[in-house]
Amino acid sequence: MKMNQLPRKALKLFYIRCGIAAVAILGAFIPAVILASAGGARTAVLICAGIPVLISLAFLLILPYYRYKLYAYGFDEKRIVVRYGVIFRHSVTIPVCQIQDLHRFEGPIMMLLGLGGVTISTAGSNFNLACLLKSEADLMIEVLEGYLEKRVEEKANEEIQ
Amino acid sequence: MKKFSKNYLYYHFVADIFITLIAAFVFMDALIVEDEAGEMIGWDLKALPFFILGILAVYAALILYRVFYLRFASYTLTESDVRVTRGVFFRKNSILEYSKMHAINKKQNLIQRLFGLAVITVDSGSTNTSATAEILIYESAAEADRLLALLKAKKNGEEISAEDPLAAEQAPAEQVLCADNGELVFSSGKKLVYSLLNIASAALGTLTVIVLCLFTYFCILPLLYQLLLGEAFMVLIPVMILALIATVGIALFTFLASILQSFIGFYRFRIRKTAKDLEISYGLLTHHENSFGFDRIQGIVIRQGLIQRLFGYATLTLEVIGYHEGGDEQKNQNASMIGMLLPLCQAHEAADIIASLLPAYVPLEREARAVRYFPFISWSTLVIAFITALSATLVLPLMYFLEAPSIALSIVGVLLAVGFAIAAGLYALGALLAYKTAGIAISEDRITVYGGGYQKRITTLLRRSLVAVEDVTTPLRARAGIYTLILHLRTNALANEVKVQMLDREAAEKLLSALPD
Repeated sequence: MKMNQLPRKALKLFYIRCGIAAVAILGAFIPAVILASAGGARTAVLICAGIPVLISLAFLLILPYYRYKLYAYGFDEKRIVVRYGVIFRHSVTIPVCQIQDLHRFEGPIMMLLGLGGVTISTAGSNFNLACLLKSEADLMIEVLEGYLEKRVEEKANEEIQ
Repeated sequence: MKKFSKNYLYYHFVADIFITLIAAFVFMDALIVEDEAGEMIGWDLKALPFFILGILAVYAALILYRVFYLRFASYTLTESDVRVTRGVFFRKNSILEYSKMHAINKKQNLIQRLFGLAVITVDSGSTNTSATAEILIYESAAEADRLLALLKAKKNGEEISAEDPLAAEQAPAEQVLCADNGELVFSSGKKLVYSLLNIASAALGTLTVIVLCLFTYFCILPLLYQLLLGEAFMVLIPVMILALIATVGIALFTFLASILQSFIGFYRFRIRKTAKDLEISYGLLTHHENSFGFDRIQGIVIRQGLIQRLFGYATLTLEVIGYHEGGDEQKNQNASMIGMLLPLCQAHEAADIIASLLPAYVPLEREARAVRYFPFISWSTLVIAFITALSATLVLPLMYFLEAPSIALSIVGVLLAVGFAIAAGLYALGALLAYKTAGIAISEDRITVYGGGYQKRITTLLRRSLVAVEDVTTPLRARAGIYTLILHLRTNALANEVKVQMLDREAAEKLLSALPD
């Protein structure tokens, strides 16, 4: 099975999301330092909160790249495989015959970047394929629907025989 | 369209009194007159009439809501589906095809029984309804029995008289496990053992808290007094006493609840097996009658807590489509009871019981085991170490800047190290149990997964229930050929995963090939 990488725009999206998280962290940290300075405990707060903040920011800087680089997906007539994760590497295998329905989703930033995600619903779980190009997402849904119909037909024939 | 029974209203005339009384108790504080020191000196009698009026208004509002609910609610059984309309502020129309019905349950609590009311719930097994059923009908007890029989027949595609469906239901069941027929029964003796095991589990937790409190009192507080806080530590004593009282209170409540649960909750526990269903009924105060079609059962779990394992007992639960069996929300408590197959049995007889009830789910002997112990402990140790190091990084510099004496710094450091050692030790023990338990067995038609640390779980599921397999690894584990796999089941969104840890490549590949095409 051929495994595909996410489009380059997905990396931008990951960086934007991490940027928002970084702004939120700094938005909490900077007022804390200002307040602590007024209370005379600036150094203590800088050390105590600064270390976790620095670690978090470093993660936010590195994480998107590796997330993008290590994300891969592929599908054929029988299976869909999604590989993701940086520290813990996940590889999900979903049989096409177990698909219940397929959805495309877009968040506001995804819309700006022309990206779309595909949610594969099975009887019990939902699996997200994040950040494909909209055209890729539509094509994937179309192709998978075709495979699914074919598999359902094959299964019905097997049962009749 | 048929209306819900008027007994619903009569029942709520009484049940809502309790809700109103709780509201009155909560707001009673408004009537208390206090002095400047905050001590109660009497009651504000001038405000009393308004208070009573307010409480009556709450009761009236509740009753008014029930009246409207009853007025708007209706149901109908068509040729192909059951339709229910309910709701006051938000109207909900539910349509459920008979062929898609999963579990049909009847429930009656004590007050409902006094008023001859019963609740029928029907669930479709949808992922979105894991906590509550889609179809809910309030009917009189006699009508509920008729409706239950009719719905079961419709679900199974049987032709029966709509006027007298109960006559058809008199057909003998294949097998009945109840107080009258031998060993496979949840007898009084077993209920007693079940209570004692639950009590022992609760006692273990209570003992741990008491030991921690005593350790704090005799070791930590004197040190804090000597070194850091001086007289300020006195404020910690009432906190600790309160914690002790709360722990003992909770323990006593758990003991009592455990006994009540065993003897009242599981009163007249019966399992009835028919050609297409498994019917489980029990309960004195709240009577449950749960019916599961065999095609909707996705797995059976044999659970053994630490204490149960010590004494060789086990609990059997069902993994069924639509209901979550271990939720922490209030709503899910009923659902957790619905998944119960047998509250207690001897561990060695579990396979025989399953064979008699659901032969397709008899657990297989373990074929592959976990290959290494270290991966079970590595990440948890790293996380605990990280938390300890972070705590030290935050607390010790703060104490230094607040000019705490150096011996106080040393003691806090030692305490952090002791805390790390205890947490790591507990994790190590849990990991050892998980390592000894973990494994898998795969046959033509089913898979048995062995897992769990302090609570052992043996899950048997049919291969056709597998909807996906997820391989979770780290680069190091991948290099060493160690695989942890998550099996996604065709159940509901809340309880649809079974994890099997640290297998070798051969077992992992066998499991991946077990996925249906």
